[in-house]
Amino acid sequence: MSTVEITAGLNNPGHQSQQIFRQVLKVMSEPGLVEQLPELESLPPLDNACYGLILSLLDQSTPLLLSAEFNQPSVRQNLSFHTGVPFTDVAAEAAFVLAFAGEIDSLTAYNKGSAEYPETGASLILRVNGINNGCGTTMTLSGPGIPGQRLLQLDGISDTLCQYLTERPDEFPSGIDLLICCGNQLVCIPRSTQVTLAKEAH
Amino acid sequence: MSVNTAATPNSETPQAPSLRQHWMSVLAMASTEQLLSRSSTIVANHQFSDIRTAEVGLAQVRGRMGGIGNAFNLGDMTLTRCVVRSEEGRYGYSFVSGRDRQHARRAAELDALLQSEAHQTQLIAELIEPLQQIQAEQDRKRREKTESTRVNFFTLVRGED
Repeated sequence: MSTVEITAGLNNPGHQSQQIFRQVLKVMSEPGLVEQLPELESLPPLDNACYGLILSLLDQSTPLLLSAEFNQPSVRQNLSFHTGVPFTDVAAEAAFVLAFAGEIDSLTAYNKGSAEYPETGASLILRVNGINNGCGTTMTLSGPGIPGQRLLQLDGISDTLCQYLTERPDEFPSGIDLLICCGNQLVCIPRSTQVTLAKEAH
Repeated sequence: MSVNTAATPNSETPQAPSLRQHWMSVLAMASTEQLLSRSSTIVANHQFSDIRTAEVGLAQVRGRMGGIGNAFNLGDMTLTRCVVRSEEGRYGYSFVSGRDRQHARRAAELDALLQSEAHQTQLIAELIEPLQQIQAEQDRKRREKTESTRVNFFTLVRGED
């Protein structure tokens, strides 16, 4: 028997995973909007929203790359128990990446998709220290799904990530989508959103 | 009934089932009514939390002709699986044929209890053994009934070689 504690999954998998999927759809189509995901039993170092997302979106067909901080036996065992997700160490193979937003120091290796198959681009599930909590980087979002502009403040995202978002080096429709989690909160910055940095608050 | 040894799906050589495999098999194969009625008082005093709520799915059943040779796919069967955690922190698993979530949940609860030394001896004597006897009796009756319809085929050998 393994010594790793198995954490409870969704207590009503059918309904809850559909509910979370609907919420992801909402925040993806309206970038910068924050949704509250349902409460779950915790699996450190994942927070509630990360865990719920993974339980709802991942399965045997979506290779997951764990960052150094998340690459722990308890995380691997729990996620493969609940979702059967295959783990990969090769960035280009990953359909999903789970990382702290501050850990991302390069985005070049991830799969960006191609003009013919943009949907194969990787989705990053990022944990931040705070969303709209008064500290960190303030961004102005604009583009599809945003009437005018929307402000979003994220605490603990790396400079590389900021640079990627403002410069958008990949030619549309290729690119990476960000699913950003903090506690129960979820917010998305899809590849179609234009980002300008407002100011850094400390 | 090769299905219920599926707890070790990758083992190529069949081994004698462990004690836990044995009780999991008895719990899975018991009739739902008997299992639920005989165990309701046992589980009533315990709390269990859902780790994986009972869910219905398909499992592919593989077999070997006469128990030897290469494994082939026999077909799919409906399977309900469930995992619970007892107050003591033990994990109970069940894999039950059919779609009965209640049966799977109860079998998982009992598996968790049976793993704790405090309950094991008593539970085996009071629950597993009686259930097993019922199953053995049903099995014997079925064999008897089948045996009475046995037809023996004889081949008459012609010639010397």
